[in-house]
Amino acid sequence: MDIELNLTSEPVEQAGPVEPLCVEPTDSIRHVLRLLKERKAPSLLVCRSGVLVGIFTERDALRVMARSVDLDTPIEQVMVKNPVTLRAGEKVAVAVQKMSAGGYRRLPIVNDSGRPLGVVQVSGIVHYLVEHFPKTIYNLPPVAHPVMQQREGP
Amino acid sequence: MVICPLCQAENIDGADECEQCQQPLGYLSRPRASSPLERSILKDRVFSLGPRTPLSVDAATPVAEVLRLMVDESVGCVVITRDDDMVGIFTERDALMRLNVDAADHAERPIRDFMTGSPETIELDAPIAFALHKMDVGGYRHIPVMNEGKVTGVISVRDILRHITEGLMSRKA
Repeated sequence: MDIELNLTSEPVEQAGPVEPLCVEPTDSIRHVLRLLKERKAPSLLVCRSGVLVGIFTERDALRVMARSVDLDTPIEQVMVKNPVTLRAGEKVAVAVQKMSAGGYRRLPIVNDSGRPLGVVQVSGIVHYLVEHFPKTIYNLPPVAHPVMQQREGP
Repeated sequence: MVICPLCQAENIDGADECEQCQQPLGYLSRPRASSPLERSILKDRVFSLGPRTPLSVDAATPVAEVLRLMVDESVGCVVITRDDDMVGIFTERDALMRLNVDAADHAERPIRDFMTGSPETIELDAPIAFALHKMDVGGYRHIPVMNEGKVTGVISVRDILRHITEGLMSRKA
């Protein structure tokens, strides 16, 4: 099976999108940071009455921490507005290209009315790739070019 | 079952040499890439991703300074050193999971209290497939690149995605 064929023909749903974790635009940064830690989530979506309006990721969290922003500020002031999204059924190759071009590590999947259906993560893409190169990747030795320092045996 | 290409004798799978004619057979059972992209991630080495010179700080550096540095330099990962040896890394994820809402309270603490000690590393001349595999198994996004026992760079999952995208583009063109 050809990997390129897979990338351009299989939908992003194959790359293991995760359930969207949503908060309201008026929720505080404190609430959002705690939620991210509690769920061990790297990002969450900001939705106004169910429609995606922004995304808040680890990168944004780092910026908030470095600048010592007041943690009671509503999340909508520090989120990334109108993030790049994918539509349901778009191909894996499109997701890879969008991530690579914009330097994004997660892309929300939305339906026609802007409601989030899931989030494609870069780790899902990596896993997808590894699964599609099964022989070559699963059979790798632990060290690239092992050179024995001593001969085997007594 | 492996058929010896020389004498046609049947050998068990994975046999190193033919039972009948002692011809080496090891190469027959080695995995082979089935597509150009697959071949490229096996053949191309980590150095062809152009690992970035790592941003490194001493283990005693205060947290606040490291955070500022990461934002200013737009990096997601810093290498923590002591006497020029790597002792750990500190990433965006560490910041979120270990500092979180208490970042301001920990501002003056040394970064070594929050870093990830002895991270997984990769050799500069290892195939890209190795890096991809390590990232998948460990869920990492950054791996320090070693050359002769010293850290020479950091590769991120983004570098690998770029490599794949370039591969896809050049195939279409």
